[in-house]
Amino acid sequence: MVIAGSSALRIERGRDSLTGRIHTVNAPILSLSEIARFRGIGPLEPFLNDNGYANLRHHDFWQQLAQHGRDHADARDEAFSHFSQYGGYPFAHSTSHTDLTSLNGRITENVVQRMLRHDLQGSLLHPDLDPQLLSLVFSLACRYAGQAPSHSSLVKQVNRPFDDGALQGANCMSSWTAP
Amino acid sequence: MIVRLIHPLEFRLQRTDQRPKICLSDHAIRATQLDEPVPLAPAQLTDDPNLATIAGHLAKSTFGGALADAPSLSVHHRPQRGSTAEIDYLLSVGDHLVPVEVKYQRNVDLNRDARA
Repeated sequence: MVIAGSSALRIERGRDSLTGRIHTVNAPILSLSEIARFRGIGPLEPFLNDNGYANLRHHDFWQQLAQHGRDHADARDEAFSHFSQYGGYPFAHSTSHTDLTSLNGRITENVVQRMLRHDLQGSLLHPDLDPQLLSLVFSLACRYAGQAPSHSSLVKQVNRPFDDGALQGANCMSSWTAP
Repeated sequence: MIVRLIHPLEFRLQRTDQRPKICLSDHAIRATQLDEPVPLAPAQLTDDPNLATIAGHLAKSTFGGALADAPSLSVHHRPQRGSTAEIDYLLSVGDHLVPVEVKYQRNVDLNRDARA
């Protein structure tokens, strides 16, 4: 029997821990070659095979990757331009004309709110999460994307709008940044 | 998983700066949440060069987010420590460590930018 679901954090509500019988399948956003395929650009074949990560340790791989990029520069740049503007979710590229307002609404509803309200708040792992605090922490994560901000500076910013909830904010940040 | 934390690599059990690097699965999430769209494509960035620094961070975030989803690949970063320069990402491939420096700029000086 196979039980599949995307709200993995709710699996704890069951009686069985399912230890050793859970397998996570990551479904990342579209790659540039997939965006090219969605939008009829190309050909733009991926250079790295699905199971080809062992090649990353070879110097030749990186040089050939750069050459592959140069060889397909037009298709790559066009696909990247769409990724730059709309991101990589499939629904952003399912039609040739993407309406940004509609796209933002879908990302907010189907991705962000789904994670904040359903996956995290509904989880038994963190039953006491304050929705406002959760949203603020997520905004900070967005603000510092690609960076490694210090714990103290994040706590300071989280606590700013919560005059009475300073301890709660600090505790939340401690568990969030713990390795 | 829409937010990934890339943790520092511990060398020889030495205590390092424990700050994780924050990576988003998609920069469109940031644009939506903060209501601040930042394009990544160079042609779109010329309209507002002030966004170039943020675009550089988002390029690092996108790279880290993509690699964090890769199966059988361990991804870390190395923060600056004393005179040792920061390395954006360290990929553990088998018993090999592959350092990756993400530079999102028009001109890359290999001597200066790949010093670490």
